[in-house]
Amino acid sequence: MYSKIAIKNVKKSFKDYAIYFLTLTLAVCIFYSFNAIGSQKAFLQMDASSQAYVSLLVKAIAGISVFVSIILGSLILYANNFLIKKRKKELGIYMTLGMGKRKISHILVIETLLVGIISLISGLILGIGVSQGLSIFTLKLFDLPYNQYHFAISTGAIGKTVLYFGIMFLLVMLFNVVIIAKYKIIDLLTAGRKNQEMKFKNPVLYFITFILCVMSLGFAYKIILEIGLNITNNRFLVSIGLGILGTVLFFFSLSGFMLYIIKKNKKIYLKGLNIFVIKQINSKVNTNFLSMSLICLMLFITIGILSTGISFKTNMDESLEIKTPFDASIYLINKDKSYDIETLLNKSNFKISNQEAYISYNLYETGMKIKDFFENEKSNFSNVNVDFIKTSDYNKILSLKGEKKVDLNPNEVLILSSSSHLIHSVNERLKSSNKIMIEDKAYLIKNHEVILENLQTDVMAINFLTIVIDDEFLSNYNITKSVLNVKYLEGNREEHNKKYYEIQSYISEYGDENWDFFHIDGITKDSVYTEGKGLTTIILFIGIYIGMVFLITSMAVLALQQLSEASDSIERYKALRRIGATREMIEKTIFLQTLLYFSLPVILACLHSVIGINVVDSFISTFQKTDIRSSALTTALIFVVVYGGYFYTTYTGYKNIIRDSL
Amino acid sequence: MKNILSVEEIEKYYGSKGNVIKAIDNISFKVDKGEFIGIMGPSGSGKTTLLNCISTIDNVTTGKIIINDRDITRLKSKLLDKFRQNELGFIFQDFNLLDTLTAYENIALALTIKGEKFSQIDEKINSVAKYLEIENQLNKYPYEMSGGQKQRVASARAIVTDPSLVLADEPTGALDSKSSRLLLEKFESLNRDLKTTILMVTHDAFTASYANRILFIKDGKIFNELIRGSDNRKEFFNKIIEVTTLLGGDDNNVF
Repeated sequence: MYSKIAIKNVKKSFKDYAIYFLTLTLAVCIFYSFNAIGSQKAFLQMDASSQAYVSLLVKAIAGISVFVSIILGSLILYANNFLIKKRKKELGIYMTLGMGKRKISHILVIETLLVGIISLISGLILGIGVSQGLSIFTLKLFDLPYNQYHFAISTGAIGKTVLYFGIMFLLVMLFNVVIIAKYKIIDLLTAGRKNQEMKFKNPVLYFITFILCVMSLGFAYKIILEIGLNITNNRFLVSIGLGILGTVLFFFSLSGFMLYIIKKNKKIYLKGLNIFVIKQINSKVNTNFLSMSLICLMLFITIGILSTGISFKTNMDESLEIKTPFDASIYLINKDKSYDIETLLNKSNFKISNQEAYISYNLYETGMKIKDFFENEKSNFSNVNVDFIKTSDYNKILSLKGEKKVDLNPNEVLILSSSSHLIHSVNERLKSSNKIMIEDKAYLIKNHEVILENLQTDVMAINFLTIVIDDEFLSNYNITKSVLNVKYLEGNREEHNKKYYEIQSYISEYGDENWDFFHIDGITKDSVYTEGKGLTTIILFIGIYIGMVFLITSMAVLALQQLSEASDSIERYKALRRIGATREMIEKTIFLQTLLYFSLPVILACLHSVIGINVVDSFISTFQKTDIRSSALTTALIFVVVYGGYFYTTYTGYKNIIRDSL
Repeated sequence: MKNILSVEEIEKYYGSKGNVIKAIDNISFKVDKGEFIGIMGPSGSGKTTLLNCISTIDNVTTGKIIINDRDITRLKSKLLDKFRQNELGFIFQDFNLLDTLTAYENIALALTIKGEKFSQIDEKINSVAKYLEIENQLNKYPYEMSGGQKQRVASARAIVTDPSLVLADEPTGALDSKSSRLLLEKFESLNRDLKTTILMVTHDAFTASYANRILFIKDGKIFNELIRGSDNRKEFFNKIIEVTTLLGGDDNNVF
């Protein structure tokens, strides 16, 4: 009997449930597809270190999923609350008919269960489809060929999804039972009859807040554009803080300010139902300014992550090439004595096979600092020593790379660097003058633009500043760092790699006990690549995951707020109709209102994003010019589809609610 | 006097075959320009249905309703909307003011819906507000006003478009007696000074006594008609009471 009522209710109010279904389905779909990533068999064919990253990715997603399920859980509770509110009258009628609260709860529990099961099923079906696309995408990120792809359904992920959402639905049921227990019949029956009080403060207040908002946003943008993506800088936090403050102030003052401006323009103000639209938006934004600010910030994060994420990864991957000019490198950092790497290795049992080609070079320090190079410019690395390398050593590096040797006169030098923090200022310095004073002697800098390279394979691009100089000049200095660069000619890479990972044990086992150097280590190109790609992929995935969840959360909240507005406004539309407004006018009003309400947070989020993307772009394009067009386009597409879907569902839902009651 | 409203032999049925309810059963009457006519009847008598039919919110089953020489039962829905905007003004029992708008904006809305030029709106609202003595309420929201003030704002909204006919549905239903008297006196002077034609539906004898002529409806038919003529309000009120007693007395037959 009660399940019959519940089934009928769900069927009957399918239109009201549309947003709820849509949101639940999308949530389940996203949740499943991200948690199903690990199930792709192709990952099993990767080498051990890559597999380690895949399992790290799976773990990371599992961790983020807890956070995501909290967000989705709150969203579902919010949506459920909205649905219950809408049905207060219906519940009141049940009660006046003598149905006990327990039985009403019973009906609601069955309804929630029903809706939950249906949306779980539809979400899982959609998710299984989406996860295939995601798998292909993952294969691409890990550089695996497409033909490795197999259709896969992850039972583990299905189980997890059912468990997590099951808990959420259980919470919703509990919540409903608690809410029903608290209701009084009189409140239920008279729900929706309360008149809204319009709490408007002095327009001057809104005017001032709006100016404050513009100022704080302006400052936030100015600071962030100045310092760039420099998280360690304190001003970065100031900028973020001002940005958030500005956003909240924007939504707080917007409606009042808009009203103030539009009231001055009688032509717009006194036309058709414009007054009504403005006031509707006004009252809604006024009460919801905090949630709108939150939505705006979430959308900003989504747009930012989605449009820069891919190019961030591509760029990070491209910077790998700069970091790893050779297949392997062993570097030795000296203390007081002046060892050179080849002598050291020759005395140990370490053997380089004849399937590998190698060269070695030494770096020297003269006591010259980076600030001496820039003469008067300040930089974070002012006190770092400048490295020197002999021209002959540099030519050895070039020849191993297969590049043309350089010819330098005794009074000529070359400037090298790979540090993203310095490249720009070094280039500026070279532009202003091509002279340099070293040890009181003037040298001519032969290159007009900094030569962007790491001299060895390294985990980071940390060749701050190296000067290539005549061999004679360095003959009296101590070697500070000595490096062996290796290029594999043939044979199994993994076998070659192995000995470089174990370099320290070679040295300590067979070496002279009296050796007194600071540090020795081996790095291979493959390890840097796996680490780099693995990390960027994990970051990218988490970014997309959170971005998608934020997107549907904000869209769903906007939609629900609009729809609850619709039920609250029925009386207003009735009044409009009675005083002669036509159906077309009313539909136009609804459209305009929904559109405005949906676009306000998006517009500010887009403005934030333009600045944000710019900052991220300049950060990651230090190495390579970025092209975010394709990822921005993809983002726009995802956005238009989700946004359009929610907008359309909301608009028709709103229209139906009003039309049914007119 | 020019004829404003002419209701000719209208009938209104509800329900389907086998279970037909006649809400209006062959009613005819005419209203001339400048009249203040009241329609009285107990609840369920069909007076609200009649008002809904005249106000084009509902349509009749048979018969004609002619307002300003146009048969509104034959108008298409688009023309009906235009018609409602231009020819009719409404006053409701529960005011039907928009709670999100100020009094000024509520009144302005009737004009903007009609497509009035924005330059004339201010002037029109101010003159109506002055007449109904709500100038000080114009910037207030409905929740800040008393019932009487709200109903006067609603009245201002009804007459600001200068309609041929003002339809009032239990205008004093939600007001206390003092506010009712104040409002009805305004109706009286509107009718006297501005020659506004008012059709008022009520079940309250005191409210009805402000009209010039009263139609009594019972069970969907016109039961009686009372014309004030040269009577003062007190005399007219007593006559109304007599008729309503008679109207109610009919029920004696049932027992």
